Amino acid sequence: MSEFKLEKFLDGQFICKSGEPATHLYFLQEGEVELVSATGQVFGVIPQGQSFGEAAILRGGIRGASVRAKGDVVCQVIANDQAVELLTSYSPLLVVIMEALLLQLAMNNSIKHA
Amino acid sequence: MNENVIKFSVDFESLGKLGPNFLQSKEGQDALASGSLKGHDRLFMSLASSSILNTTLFIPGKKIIETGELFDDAYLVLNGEIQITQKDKSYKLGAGSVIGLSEGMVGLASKFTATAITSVKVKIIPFHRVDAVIKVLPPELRAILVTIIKRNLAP
Repeated sequence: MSEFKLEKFLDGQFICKSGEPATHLYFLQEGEVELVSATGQVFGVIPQGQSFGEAAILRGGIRGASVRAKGDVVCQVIANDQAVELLTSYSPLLVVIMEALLLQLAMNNSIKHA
Repeated sequence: MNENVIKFSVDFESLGKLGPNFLQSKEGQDALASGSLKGHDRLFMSLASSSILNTTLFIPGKKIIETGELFDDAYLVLNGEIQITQKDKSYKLGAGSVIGLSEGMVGLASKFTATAITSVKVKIIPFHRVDAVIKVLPPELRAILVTIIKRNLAP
C-alpha cells in the first residue's frame, strides 16, 4: 500500500483541525485519538484499527471536528485524490460504495438528531 | 414519533439544476469550501450521476423491505418519499436516503419496514457486486469501510 504514508503524532498533538480543508484520510495503526469540538470539548475517542477523516473522500469538504492524539499515535495517511485513485483502481464501484456509506452516515446522523 | 416528519432529504430539484459538471467546476469547489454546498449534497450529486448503477421505480404502496428480511440490494433514493416503520417509530425519508447498505454489507436483516409513499425512483446497489469488490481489498481499505459501517449501525 505505497499510497499510504506512515506519520507519527505526539501525545496532545492536533492531527487535523475543525474548519480546515479535508485533504487526507487516516488509518489509525497504533494508539488512539480523540475528537474535539470547536469549543474544545472532547466528544469521542477513535480506537486503534479504525479510520478517521473519511470526509476527505468528499474532495473539497471541510473538517467538522478536530482530532488530537491521545498518547503517541502512528497513522497511515493518504491524500484524498490518491485515496479516490486507489479505490478506483480496485473498482469504480468501490468509490460508489464509499460515497453511499458516507451518505447513509449523514442520513443516520440526521435521523438521530431530528 | 410523528410519522409525517421527513427526517432526511436533499433538495434534489435545486441540485439537479446545478448540472452534472458542477462539482468539478470552480464554482462547485468554492461552494463546497464555503460550506454553502453540504457534504451530503455533494455525495448525492456524485451518486445520482453515476453511470454504473441501474435505476428502478417503486410504485406507491410498494414494500421495499420488511422487518426481518435480508437485503439483496441497497437503494439510493433519487426522488420520492419512503415511510420507515421500526417498532414504535415511524418517519419519512426523501431524496438522498440510503436504504440497507451497511446492513446488507454485514448480512444483517432489516430492523425496519420501508414502504414507498409516492413513486420512488432509486439507484440499485446489488450486494453480489459489492461482495465481489470487497473480497479483493487490502486490509487498510477494508478497515476504512468497516469503520463507516460500524458508525452507521451504532444505536
